[in-house]
Amino acid sequence: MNGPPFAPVLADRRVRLLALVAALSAFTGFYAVPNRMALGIVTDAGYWCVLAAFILYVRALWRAFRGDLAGLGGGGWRRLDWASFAVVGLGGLVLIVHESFGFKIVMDEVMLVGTSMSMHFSRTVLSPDRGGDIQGAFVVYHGIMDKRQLFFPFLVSILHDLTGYRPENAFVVNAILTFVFLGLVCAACRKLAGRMAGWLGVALFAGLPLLAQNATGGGFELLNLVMILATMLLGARFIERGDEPSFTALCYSALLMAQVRYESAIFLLPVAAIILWVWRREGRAILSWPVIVAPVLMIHCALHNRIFGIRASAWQLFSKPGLSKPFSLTYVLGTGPKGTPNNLEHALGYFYGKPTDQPNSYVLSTLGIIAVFFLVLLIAKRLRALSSEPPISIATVFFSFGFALQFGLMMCYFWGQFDDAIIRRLSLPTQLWMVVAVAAVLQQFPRPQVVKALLAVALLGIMAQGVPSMAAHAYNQEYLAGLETAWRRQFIADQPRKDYLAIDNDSILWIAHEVSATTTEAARSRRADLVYFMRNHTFSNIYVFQRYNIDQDTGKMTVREDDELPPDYILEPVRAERLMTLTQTRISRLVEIRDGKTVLTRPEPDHVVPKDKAEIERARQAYLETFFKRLP
Amino acid sequence: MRRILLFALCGVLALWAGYFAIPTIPAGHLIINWGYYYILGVFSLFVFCAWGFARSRQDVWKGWIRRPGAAGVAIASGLLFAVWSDPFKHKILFDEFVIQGTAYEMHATKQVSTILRAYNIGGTWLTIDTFLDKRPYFFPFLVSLVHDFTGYRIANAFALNVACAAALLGLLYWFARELAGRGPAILAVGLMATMPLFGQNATGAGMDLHNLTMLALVACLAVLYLRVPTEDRLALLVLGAVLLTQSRYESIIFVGPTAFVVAAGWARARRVILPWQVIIAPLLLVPYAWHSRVLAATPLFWQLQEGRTTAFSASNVESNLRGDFAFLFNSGPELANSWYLSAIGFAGLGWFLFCASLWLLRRPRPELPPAVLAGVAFGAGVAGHFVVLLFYWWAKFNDLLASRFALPMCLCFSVLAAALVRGLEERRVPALRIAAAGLGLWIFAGAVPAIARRLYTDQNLAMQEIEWEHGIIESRPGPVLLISNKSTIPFVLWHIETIISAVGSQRGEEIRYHMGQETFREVLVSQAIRPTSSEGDMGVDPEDMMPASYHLEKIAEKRFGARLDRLSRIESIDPEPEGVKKPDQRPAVPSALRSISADQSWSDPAVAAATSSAVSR
Repeated sequence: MNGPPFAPVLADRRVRLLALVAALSAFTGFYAVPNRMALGIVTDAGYWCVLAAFILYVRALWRAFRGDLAGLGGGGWRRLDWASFAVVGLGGLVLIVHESFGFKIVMDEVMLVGTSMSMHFSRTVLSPDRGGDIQGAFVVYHGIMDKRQLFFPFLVSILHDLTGYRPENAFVVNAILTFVFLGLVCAACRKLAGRMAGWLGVALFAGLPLLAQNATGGGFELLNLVMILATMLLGARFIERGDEPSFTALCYSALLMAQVRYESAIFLLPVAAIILWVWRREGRAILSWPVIVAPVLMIHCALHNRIFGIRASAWQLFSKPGLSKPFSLTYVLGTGPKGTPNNLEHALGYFYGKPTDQPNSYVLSTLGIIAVFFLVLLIAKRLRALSSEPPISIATVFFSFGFALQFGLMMCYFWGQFDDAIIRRLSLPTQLWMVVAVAAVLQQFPRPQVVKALLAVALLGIMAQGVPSMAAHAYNQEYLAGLETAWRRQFIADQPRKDYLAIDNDSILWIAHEVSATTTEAARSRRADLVYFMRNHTFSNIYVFQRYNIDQDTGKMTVREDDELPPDYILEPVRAERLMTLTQTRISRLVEIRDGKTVLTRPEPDHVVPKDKAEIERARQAYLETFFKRLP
Repeated sequence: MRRILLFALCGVLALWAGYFAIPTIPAGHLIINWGYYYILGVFSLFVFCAWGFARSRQDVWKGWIRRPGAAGVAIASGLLFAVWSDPFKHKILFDEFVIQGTAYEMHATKQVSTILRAYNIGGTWLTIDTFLDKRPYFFPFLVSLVHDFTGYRIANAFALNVACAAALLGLLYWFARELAGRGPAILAVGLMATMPLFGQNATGAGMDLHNLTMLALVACLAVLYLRVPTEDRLALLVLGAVLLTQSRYESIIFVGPTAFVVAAGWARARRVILPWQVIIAPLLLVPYAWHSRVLAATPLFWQLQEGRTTAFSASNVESNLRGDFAFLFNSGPELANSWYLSAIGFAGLGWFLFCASLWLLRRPRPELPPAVLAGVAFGAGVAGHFVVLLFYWWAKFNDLLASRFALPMCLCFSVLAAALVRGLEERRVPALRIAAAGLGLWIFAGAVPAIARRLYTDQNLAMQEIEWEHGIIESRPGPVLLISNKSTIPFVLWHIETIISAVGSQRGEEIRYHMGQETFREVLVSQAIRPTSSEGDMGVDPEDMMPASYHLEKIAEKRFGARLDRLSRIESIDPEPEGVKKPDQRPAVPSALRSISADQSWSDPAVAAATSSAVSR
């Protein structure tokens, strides 16, 4: 590569156009649109931006791979590596059969389903928080913008479009993604170190209970892993081919990857590095019109991220009292004042915690940490002679920087404790890096016995630790919110009709299941409205969800403060269970509301309905008007 | 010449027989007793002629079956989309139940009448009361045929409508292909199939989709006839048109376009073609005339609101037009329309008018291709149909129950869209690509969100009430006698003994007797509970009120919109004091159906007499 390598690239008018579009998009997204309009624009236009990006991504994949797919015709499919398909199928099966499908991280996963619900019903980006049956059909009449990115709810909404709305579609998407992810792992490791390395990669993940937990949940972690790995593989393809279809596919993969999890935008850096590296190598800019317009399709991401500025609560700093900054270097080793977390220690706590406490894999942790160490050495050694390396190795090098940055960011995050029940999932990209590192390092061991031995160890790990841990999934039992969510979902499923009202601080969970719901706070403050609904039999029943804490010495049960209703709300327990030793979770029926000794909700004798139809209609209209105003 | 005279004689005879020879009531009896055999005869004749024609063109249709190609994929996808878009259930109350009731009677007794009241007597579900419905009976006849061959079940009507949907999409494709070529024809199928109204009717039990299929079939037969005017094709066309008139009341309009096409075929063949099936065709329309007279003589059938005296009036035009446009260009999810189809259809109409004016200005005028001529004729028929509806008092397309009247117009729009695309493509505009992209946008932005919510189906509260009541009754140990405040027909079709509230409140002694005899394990009463003020203060609808001597115990209550539906059990009925004259408590007329049942049941004969025939009354 002699001469000024970037001169022809910079001279390309299309590159200047791309730079202009990107600059304008960034200006629009970060500065031009005022905060008060930002979220409204995302609500109305977010779905369409993701849809456009998704269509262009599928088109780009088709253009990039149609030649390969054409090769499958005429008996070409017989030459496929069916053994690897079987390994992926088996690995995926192990991951999804042991845990029950359900929302594992609340309310994150419920919020995602809520967003998919509004995307499906109205093509808007909102998580519904008010809804009900007014005229025979459940309708959502209010929602709030969630802070989470849109690609996962978008995919779930597509499944809703195809099969009808049901919250469980999120689990179906994740189950499908599990197999896709293992397939990509197999492909990546195979490209790095051969067929057996592909199987080893699958085996390492198949024995990871954390992955099983997410494969059977409703979160976006699996999609995040899929998009990171797919982008890395497309990066390798672009390095190999240097053509426009591969370039477009890579760019759109990166664009959508950045819309799965907030911090996945970090991986845009290695993608940009790969593109510049290839342009430099080729001595020309490879560009396409979909990529030139791509920045426009990301404006909504910038607008969406304003939510952290608009709502200080979006960082959830209140979850960790004493901490005031979301990111700090002091969190890495806990070097701040007392109470500052030591994230590195917590990370080790996850990787080597007891299988009953942590959904980890000793085999993956050990092999991974060793492999990452050697991979870093390899990168340092070969960074200057990258062009002589195979494309997948080059992509691995670039993405390793991304993985390292992501890990570093997590270590600086105030809530980045990998051994926390809610945060464990954030370690998944790091564990993906570990597996990729194992395969990358295995390249250096040409003797097949090495990979075979590691495969045997990984299989032993699955049998000895992974499967028992997944089967028992004891690590879930400490997460009461998850258990309570599953318990409430069972209650919803047991009801013959969804014509009741639920009073619960997690009202979004009920709304997502198309059940009318209101918060306990609203139930307390809107007593007159509840009385109105009870007297008019608006709902077949009103159920109240409450958690009781049990004193370990006296056994006395005290309702959690947030769940408490005034004493003149007379409750009758319907279902109760001790989901943890010192708590009782209870659903009660609101029987009546009193004012002193007066029962406000006592059914009145039938009134006389006038015979005149016009009068009846007038009364109906007046009633409906009041009814709307008083809706929970 | 002899044939022409015979045809004219049949015409005069038909006019005399249809409108003068037989009084209205006997005409109704003739339909009840012989209508089944009449429609069976016409249908058999049509099938016979169609089979003869199909045999002569086996190579054509076998080729389609062997290689369906892109058209097959489009039609199958369209059908799947339509079937997936709405649940199988009754959508239009109580029309669809009445049709099912007629089909049941045609199946069980071969009479054209609708079951109204029935009891399980000695293990047999015995019809006690029926009435002659206003609706043409070709669709109920087809449903009864399915009952005959597969056994009676309510779902047969849904199966038939799915078959109609498939046939309609196939016929639409064929017609549009003749008119505009393959690509635009596939677009036409896509436009029609993705309109929620189409899916709603494809999964319902109404006769509207069947009517539309017959319309498309007759239009296709017209093209076949105009291509090669022969006796067998003409017979098929005319018999198809006769069956079309028995598909919906206003489809008689399409006799005009059919006659125009027949004459155009004669002009092309330069001779008068009159097979015997066509000669007798006027006589085949006599039952329609009788039926329409029964309808005209029964104002109740027009379902007029209080204060209205006529069903058709120029004063309805403006509000109907407003309602129609509100439906056609509605962009929300609450109606089952397709704004995209309406927009492209109107553009197609503009294009058609432009082309028509060019054609009229040309000298000499070129001969129109068969598909264009048939399209113009039947398009004019659809326009006439629309104009008639403009005068009808209950025909605003944005009324959830009247939206289905827009189907012929939407079919026409699909064809016009295909013609527009073809015309623009010929002028090197990539219209097909643009229209296809628009279709994709419509599916994502309009169709799927509307289908997801299905407000146009789910907000049918009466249907929800019936389903709720049915669920509760089914969950109780029978036999149950239901005193319904809605209609007896749905419950009778489910083999639940039912009378309406007006009768139930008058027959206290009889009900008490049967309670004593334990004929029924329970007697249930359904009542509407209505708000009396903005605060609710609910009370029983006066029309559903039972006498004070009936002692009711509430068993279930549920809100449907702004009212409650209550099911109660009669605990006991006080004996009536001797010599007390029953007051006439006939309710005001809330709906024709309910009133019909009230009327018909008023002079109930003894069971033995009633089992003979409803016709005797």
